[in-house]
Parts: sequence; structure tokens; C-alpha cells
Amino acid sequence: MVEYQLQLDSIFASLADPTRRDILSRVSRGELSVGELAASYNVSFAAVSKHLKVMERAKLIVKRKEGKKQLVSLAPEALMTADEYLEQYRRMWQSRYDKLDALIK
Amino acid sequence: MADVKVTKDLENKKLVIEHLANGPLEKVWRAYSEKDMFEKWWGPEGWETTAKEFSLIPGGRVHYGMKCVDENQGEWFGQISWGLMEVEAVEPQKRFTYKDFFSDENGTPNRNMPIMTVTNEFSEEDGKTKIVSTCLADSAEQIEELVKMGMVEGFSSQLNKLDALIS
Repeated sequence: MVEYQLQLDSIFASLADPTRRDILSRVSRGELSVGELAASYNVSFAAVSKHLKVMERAKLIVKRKEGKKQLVSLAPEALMTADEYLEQYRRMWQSRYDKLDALIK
Repeated sequence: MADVKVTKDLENKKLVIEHLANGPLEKVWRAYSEKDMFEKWWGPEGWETTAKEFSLIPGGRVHYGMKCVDENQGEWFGQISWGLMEVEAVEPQKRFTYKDFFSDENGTPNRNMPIMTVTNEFSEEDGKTKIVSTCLADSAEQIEELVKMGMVEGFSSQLNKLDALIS
């Protein structure tokens, strides 16, 4: 539980930055190279690398080498599975509708 | 516990949430369309809702904050998650459609977060009311993104808080 908490904290800290959120959303659609990412944000390769390091520590992304390229993709284990999120979402609605049902009785 | 069904239909870029509410349609409609009623139930358990704007008419807006008042919810306690509905169409006691945004406390929509078009449809069955919410995204990826990144209210409130901290 403590470890889970730690990981959540680093995920949230990692997502505090809009550039990192954008990176996450883009790599969740497919693998991209560090160069491609740097080009699209108009920042230095080093600046993007720094963001990626934070995200790697939070286990949000994974990097792999292919020749000279460094490729970045979403770490599948970082976020809950889509089904787990869906289940949480369902529970949120359940708790909301519990209150609605009580209100309209 | 309320019986709620959530189905994900990536092909058609939509999520559908269904619930059979335990009361008459007329009351359910009031729970959605009257500010005082809406505030009493919209926040999930432990979250209190206050609407800063409430106009459920075509072209109107509903801007609300949900505050976590439950100390047992750990890091969420005390946090406020802001949401904004831009109302597009309303047919009283039948359906209404709105654009659903994450927002800030000034009512500015956050366009970096996924935006959904939501249609709520209501129908009465033996004194109970069936509510079908269809959430339509611009792309299937957005649905995945929402499901993965932001649909849990607590998660979004955390991001909002962080946005506030860093802006």
C-alpha cells in the first residue's frame, strides 16, 4: 500500500507539468522518438530528456534503443488497466446514483 | 448500492452509462434541472457540490465545483474539482445534451483534457426512471485517454490542483 502510494505520488508529480501530460497523451497513441518529441515542443533535446527521465521514474513510460534512435512508449503497467479504470468510473457513478435515488424517493 | 452499467464502445467512440433510478421521472428531471436538487447529489460520496452557474437551457452553462469533505479519502480531502457543462439542447423530461469539460474555478474550460458530448435520456418504467448517459468523444483514442487518464473524478481533481499549483 505504501509503495502503491509512492508510485501514485510520483505519477501525479510527473503529470503536474502540461508538457509531460501532453507527452503521455501522445505516446499513449504510439511509440515516438525523443527527437520527434523535442521537435514538436520547440525545446531542446536535453529539456525533453529531462521530462522523460521524470516520467520514466514514475514508471509512466519506457524507453528503448533502436540504432541511434531512442524510442518512447507508454508503460502499460504504469496506469491501471483500462478495465480497472472503467470499474472505478462505474463505482463513481454508482455512488452518485445512490445519492440521486435517496433524493427522489 | 445503485445498479450501474458502463459499456465502452470504442468503434463508435462512445461510453454508455445506464441506471434505473428508484423514483418517478418528474423528480429525476428536477434532480438534474434544479440547482438545489443538483447540488445535493452530483458529487460522489464524500464530495459536496456547489454550482456557480446553473442554467440548463440551450446555450446555458452549468459550472460547478465538487469538494471532498470526507477525511477518510486521504489526499482528496479538501480538494475541489471543477467541471463545466455547455448545454446544447434540452427537451424537458426527455433528454438534454451538453459538452462536458474539465475547468477551473473561473469557468474556463480546460481544452487540454478530453472533451465529451454527453446526452442524457430519461424514460419512466413502472414508477422508476431509466437514465441512459451516452458520452461521445471526437476519437476512440480520446475515450481510451479518458478512461486511462482522467475519468476518475479524484484523479482529475488532483490534476486540477496541480494545474493551480504550477500556473
